[in-house]
Amino acid sequence: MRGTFLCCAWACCAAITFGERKKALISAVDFSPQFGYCIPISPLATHEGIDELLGYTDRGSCVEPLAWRILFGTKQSLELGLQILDANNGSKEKLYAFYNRDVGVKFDIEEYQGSEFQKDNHIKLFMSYGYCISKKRHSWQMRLGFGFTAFPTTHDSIFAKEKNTNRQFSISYQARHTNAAYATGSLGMRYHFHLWKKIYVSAQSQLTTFKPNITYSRRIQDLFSQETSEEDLFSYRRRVWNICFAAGIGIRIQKKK
Amino acid sequence: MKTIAMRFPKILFFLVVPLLIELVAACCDCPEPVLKQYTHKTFAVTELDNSQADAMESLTDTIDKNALGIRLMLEYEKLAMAIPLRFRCMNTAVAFSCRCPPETAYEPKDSITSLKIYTLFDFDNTHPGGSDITEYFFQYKNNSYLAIVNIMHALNSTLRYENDFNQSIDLLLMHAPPASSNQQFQVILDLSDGRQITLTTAKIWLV
Repeated sequence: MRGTFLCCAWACCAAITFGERKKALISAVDFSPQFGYCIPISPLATHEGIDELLGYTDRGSCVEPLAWRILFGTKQSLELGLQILDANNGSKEKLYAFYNRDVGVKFDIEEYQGSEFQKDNHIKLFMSYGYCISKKRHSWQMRLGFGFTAFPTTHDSIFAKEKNTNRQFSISYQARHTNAAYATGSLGMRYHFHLWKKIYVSAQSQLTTFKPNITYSRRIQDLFSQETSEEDLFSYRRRVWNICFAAGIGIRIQKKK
Repeated sequence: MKTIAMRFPKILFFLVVPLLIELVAACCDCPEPVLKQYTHKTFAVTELDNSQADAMESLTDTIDKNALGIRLMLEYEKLAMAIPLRFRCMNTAVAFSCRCPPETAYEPKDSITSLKIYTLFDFDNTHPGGSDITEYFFQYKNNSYLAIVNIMHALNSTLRYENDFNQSIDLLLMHAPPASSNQQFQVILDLSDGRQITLTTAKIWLV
């Protein structure tokens, strides 16, 4: 609700800023289920933390190819269109402001040295609210968004080997403050192919960054001696970059002009 | 009066029905495997360097004493091979999804009754050269460490697939010697047919 209000305010401000004949209106509502996957393009904090713990500090990898995420959700966009009509030649350009609400589930698949992370719950509910400014040319849309993303992070664990020893450990992370929202920025391109007047398929790529502020406790069990230790307040205060590709089929309810 | 040509599709349908039934029924018919025997053919050991994420056969004579392992390689030989006769209209291989185990299973004719590891050099204060240090070696499998006494059944298991006839077992040294030293290990296998196999690793410098 607050987001809608802010978005309306943004559109109105933009309308006032332009000195020509303009019209700010709610022009369309999109409902577009998406399916795709995201690849973290910065090292995952979990992997870095485990590397440090086990002594693999010399990897020097900036890309972690073994982590990916299948997402399935809906992109609900309330589209506020600002039409700029040029009285001289009649050409028309549209500048859109979006109120985005992404709701869905993410299936996280992470691997660490060939071992898959074991998760109590692979499914993460995410909700992202944001505003997108897009410039639509034909069917391409450039989307710049800012918003907040929140998804509960659950218990993660993995079996991993210590460097230079034969010892294997069970390492598990228990998240705290999981309901915190992360400031999220995204930049992406979206392509719409209209199958019918109100139905379209879309393909979207998006580069997203957010700064999580989750505190984890880390439990380490030596599988040989069965000794267990626990560290508190292992913080994830770092920036994460994801690149996502998604495709979906959407319904557009557009206001008649 | 219907002609034969008009009835041909129906006739064809009734001819095909038994084959279709056979196709479906074949899925649910997993025969009991025919039991044959295998024998332990060849044995080999090599030193393992387990210092990195995955254990690999050592290319040098120096290994971290906390990351040493011994890879025991076993090759089995089939003593008989028979293709069972089956009377069917259709091979089960063309059924929808059989997922049956192989039709032949192999059981050991001669089983490994004992696996011991001895050190040829002084290992620690309580284990001089020639001592049995089997208890220091473990296999890491399914996220737990198994003592050698607990893996004996795996050495004599029933084999079904071609890949099973060449196996390797990584035995990890879980109690390192207190100081850097030269070490060499001897693996002695006793078989139920009276054979005793003695395998010796290369001399390695543990740091």
